[in-house]
Amino acid sequence: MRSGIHEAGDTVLVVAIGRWQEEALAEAYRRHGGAVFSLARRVLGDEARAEEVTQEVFLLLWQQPERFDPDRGSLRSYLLAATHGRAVDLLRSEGAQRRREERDSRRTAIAGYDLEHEVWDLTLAEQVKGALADLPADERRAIELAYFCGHTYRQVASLLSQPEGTVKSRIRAGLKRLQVSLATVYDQASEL
Amino acid sequence: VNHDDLQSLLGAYALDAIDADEEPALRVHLAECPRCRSEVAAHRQTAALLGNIGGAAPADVWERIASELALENASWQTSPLRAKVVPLSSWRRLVLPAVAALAAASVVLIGMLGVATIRVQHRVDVLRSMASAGGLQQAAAAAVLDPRHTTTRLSSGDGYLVAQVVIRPDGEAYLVNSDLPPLESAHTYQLWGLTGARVVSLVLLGTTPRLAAFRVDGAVSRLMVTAEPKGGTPRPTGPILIQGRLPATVGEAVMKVSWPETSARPGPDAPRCAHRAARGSRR
Repeated sequence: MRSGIHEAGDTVLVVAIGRWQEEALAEAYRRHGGAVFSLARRVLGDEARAEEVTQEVFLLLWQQPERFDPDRGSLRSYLLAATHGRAVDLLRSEGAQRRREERDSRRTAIAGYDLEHEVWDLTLAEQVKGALADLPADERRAIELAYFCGHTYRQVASLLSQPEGTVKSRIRAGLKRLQVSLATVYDQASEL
Repeated sequence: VNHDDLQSLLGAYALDAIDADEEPALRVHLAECPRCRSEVAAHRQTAALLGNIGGAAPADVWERIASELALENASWQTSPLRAKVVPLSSWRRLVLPAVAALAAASVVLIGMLGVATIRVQHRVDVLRSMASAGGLQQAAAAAVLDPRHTTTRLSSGDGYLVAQVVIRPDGEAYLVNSDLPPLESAHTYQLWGLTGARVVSLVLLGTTPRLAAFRVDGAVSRLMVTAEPKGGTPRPTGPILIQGRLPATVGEAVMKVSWPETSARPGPDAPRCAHRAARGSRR
C-alpha cells in the first residue's frame, strides 16, 4: 500500500484521502506541504501563522476532499488557491490589523524586490518569473501588491495613488497577458 | 451592477483582492455565468503559478496535522452508539423537530460516525453541517447512515457549483451540502427530475438551499436545479445551474429534455451573462 501511494497520481491520492487513508494525506503533504507553507509565509510574512494556515489547508483536504475537482486544475493549484484565500482572510481579520499595518509598510517598500530574490525551487518558476517581468510595470506592480501582499485592489489603488478602476483593469489585463505567455507552463504545471 | 462592472472585477476576485461588500453580487453572478466562471478559473490557474514559490514545509506541521486526525478519530469512536436509526415513515416526521431529541441527535450523529466511517466516504462534512441546524437533519442523517443509500453529485458543467443528494432505497431523498449562492427573495431554487423525456418539479429549495427533502421514484433518471420566480413554476424557465444523474438508471443515452421553447438552454457556449447579471443578490 505504501509504495502504491507514493507512486499514485494526485487524483488517486485524493480519492484515497476520501477513503480516510491517512498515508494518502501524508503523501499529499510531502508533495505540496512546502509550496503551501511557502506561499502562506510569503503572504503573511509570519512563520507561525503560515504554519497554522498550512495545517488548516491540509485538514480541509482531509475533511472535504470532494472540493478538489481534477477537471479544474492540479491539486497544487487547488491547495495554493485555498492557502491564498485563507492567508488573506487572516490578514484582513481584525486581530491582524496591527501586524498588518507594520507589515504593509515593510511590504510596500520591498514588493518586487522579494520576487527577484525569492528561492524558486522549480525550473518552471523561472518562466513564471520571466513572464511577470515582461509585464508592463504598472500591471506587474498591481498584481504583486494584490497577490503577494494580500491587498484588495482598492488598497492597491490607494497605495499607488491610482484610480480604483485603473488598478482593477490592470490586474485583469496583466493576468490575461500572463495566461498567454505561460500557456506552455500550464501543461507542465498540471503534472506538478 | 451590470455585467461589465462585474466582469472587470474578475482578475481582482481571482487574487482574493476584492472587498467583502463586492463579493456577494459577484458570487451570484458567477453562479449564473459560465463565461465569467471560466475566466476566474483561468486567472486562478495563473495565480497558482505565481504562488508556486516552492520551499520546504516544517516537519512539525505534519505532526500537528496527524495529531488532529488522531483526535478526530478518537472523538468519534469513544462516543457510544446510543440510538438506532429510526426509519422514516412519513413526511410529517421531517417537519416535526423534537427539540429534546435534537440535542441528543448531535451526540448520536457523532457516535454513529465512528461506525460509519469506513463504509461511508465523504460524509463527515455532511453530518457536521446537519448536526448544527434544525429538523431535517435527523432524517437526512439516517439516510446517510443507511448502508443501502446511494449518493449523487449535482454540479455545474465546470464543477464550480456543487450539491450532494442522498437517496434511500425507498425513494426518500435529501439535498445536502449545496453551495448554491443565495438568491434575492423574489426568486427560489427549484429541483427538477427527469422522468423519461418529461421534466417534473420535485421541490422548491428556497433562496438559500442547504438541506431539503424530496422524493424520487425509479423513473427519475436525472436531477436538475434552476432558479425560478418565487413560488416556483410548473416548468423550468431558467438555465440548469447544477445537475447530476441518478445512479443505476437506464436509457440515459437516448433522453431528450423537453425544454420550453421560450427558454434558451444553457451550455458552455451560451453565456447568459448580460441579461441575468442583475438578477440575484444577497437578501
